[in-house]
Amino acid sequence: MTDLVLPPGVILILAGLALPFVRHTARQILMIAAPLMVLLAVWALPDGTSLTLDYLGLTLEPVKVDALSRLFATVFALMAFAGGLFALNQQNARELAAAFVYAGSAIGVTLAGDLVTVFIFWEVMAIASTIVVWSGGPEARGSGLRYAAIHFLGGVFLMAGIAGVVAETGSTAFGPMEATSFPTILILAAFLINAGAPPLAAWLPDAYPRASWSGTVFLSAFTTKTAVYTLIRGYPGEEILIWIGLYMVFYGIVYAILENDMRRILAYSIVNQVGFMVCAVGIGTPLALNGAAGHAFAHIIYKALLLMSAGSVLYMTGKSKCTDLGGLFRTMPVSCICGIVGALAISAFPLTSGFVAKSMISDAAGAEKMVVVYFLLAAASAGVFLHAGIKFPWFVFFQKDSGLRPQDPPWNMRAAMIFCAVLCIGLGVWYSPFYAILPYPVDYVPYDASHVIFYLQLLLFSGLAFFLMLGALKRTLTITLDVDWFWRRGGRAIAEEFEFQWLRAYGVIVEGFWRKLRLVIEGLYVNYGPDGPWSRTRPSGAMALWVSLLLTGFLLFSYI
Amino acid sequence: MSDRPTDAPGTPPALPPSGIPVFEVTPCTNRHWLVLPETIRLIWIVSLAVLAGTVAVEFAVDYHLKFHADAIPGFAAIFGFLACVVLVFGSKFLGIFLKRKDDYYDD
Repeated sequence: MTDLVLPPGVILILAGLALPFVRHTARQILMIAAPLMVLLAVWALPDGTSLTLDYLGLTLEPVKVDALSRLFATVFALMAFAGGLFALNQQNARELAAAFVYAGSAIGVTLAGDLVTVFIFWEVMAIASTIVVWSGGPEARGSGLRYAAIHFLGGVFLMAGIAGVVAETGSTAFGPMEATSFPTILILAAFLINAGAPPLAAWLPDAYPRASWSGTVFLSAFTTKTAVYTLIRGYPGEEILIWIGLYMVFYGIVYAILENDMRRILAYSIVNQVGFMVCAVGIGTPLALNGAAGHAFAHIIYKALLLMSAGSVLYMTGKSKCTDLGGLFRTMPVSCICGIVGALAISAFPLTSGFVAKSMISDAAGAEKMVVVYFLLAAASAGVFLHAGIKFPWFVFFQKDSGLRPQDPPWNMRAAMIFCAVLCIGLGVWYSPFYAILPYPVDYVPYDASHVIFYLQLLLFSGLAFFLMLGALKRTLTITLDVDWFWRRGGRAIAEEFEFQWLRAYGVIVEGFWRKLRLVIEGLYVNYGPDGPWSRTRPSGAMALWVSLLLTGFLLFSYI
Repeated sequence: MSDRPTDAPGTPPALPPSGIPVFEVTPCTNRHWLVLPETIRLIWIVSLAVLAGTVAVEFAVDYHLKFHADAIPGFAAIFGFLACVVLVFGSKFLGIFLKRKDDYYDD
């Protein structure tokens, strides 16, 4: 390569910044072409460092490629392509520009060879994704602000951690670390905040469903999966991640079961799916890390597919609550079938991408003799089918007849959904090319008879459980409280109390001021008012008397 | 809240983002072939046969599970079913404390 290597992420960022300045067809061509160019650029880069910079006495490596970073950069570029295709009808150029900058900076993180570059792209990602959330309209203002606050907090942790690491080791290189010192713990916390880990996971289901019909598709792909990438790169085998991951898995299921808004159901299931990956990073064997990376790859595509299906419904009906929807399979067959394919893939049904990826994670737990983890992951797989695999298609496309008869969305949205659906099935059937690009050499066969039967029984009987318990799963017009209650209600109550007390104090101060002022005015009035001694009128006779007395005095004194 | 159309009397309902008005009909329960009671009955029968088949097939092949779970016939079926029952009722229990009306946060 020449010395003039432009980081692939920067290509996409520049394309994004150019989007608002071109119109109509030119914009659409740019939205399709830029991600494909980035994909080519990613695959044209050789392994190892292609670009080094000296900045403030630190050596930066903005472009450093290995199998892991290439895998993530590839799926991010694919996702920018599919998302761009889906969003061609989006009129809001600001959202599109932000989405492309967001995708580009995510690719920037995956190709960064040093922590400072990671930090720079990390922050660009936070800013751009906040703009994507805000483009959802006036209702997105508050959740966008909360989203930004959490991510900038994560950015502060990351910067402080990086400064500590550089001070300790003198190196900015981004490689495996152990969360044993304060700076490395800070960096781990920053990565986990972006992954949607407890206790701050509420930003994800709060903000993502407030974005527009197309914005959520972009949001679902990049932030959490970039965090998974940095965890695989930075903290493989960090044992606490197993338990954090398992918590996320069950948190996602429980909240999704209780949720009514279709896009929020899918947002909770992002936390659930990322939980599988975080858990795999915690297990840390090559098989588990392959599983985490492969699952992230597969997940980005099927989750985007699910959100495209939901986005199509929202685009055509303007509704996103399960209680308002139902029976749409009649007039939206493409969205319905693609949604079902995505739902089967997220549930890890055999012959889908989810199956060939997630099997590696559970088998890694099995191979490490982690009995509890293995069976919890199996129970969670059943739960995924329950909360996303059946619940989403059932309540949106079947359930009852809502009376709505919307058509399928325009061709480009259908094409984007079909593209993702084909990938979901294709990766599941022809899995060898997929396994070939995983970070570690793979010696794994997903289609083992016992394994397939185990999953089929597990999933199909979960389906039976779903339909037998339909009464208990009836949707209600409710939301579910989360940790963010503390700043949405708790903090607000404190603020309101403070405001009340302050107003009271303010009242006392103002009242005192007016009392003082009134005393002064009254004092002036007594002396200078119409009846005051200083405004008394004096008769002219008195004046004549005083003048004659003066003159008499003067006469007397002039003779003395 | 965001997606509740403001249907004041006399104003047309809010358009979806596509700008195409949604065609609405009176909800019906039995016009499409897929929702006819006979079809639903058939779907149940076929599904139950498939469920039984997945359990039966484990006796036909060399079936091995991790941690000797294959000692119990139909282990995965029972495990998956019970996991879902526990998850649903566990969630409903938590929901008693955590569910609020969807306009609880007025932002």
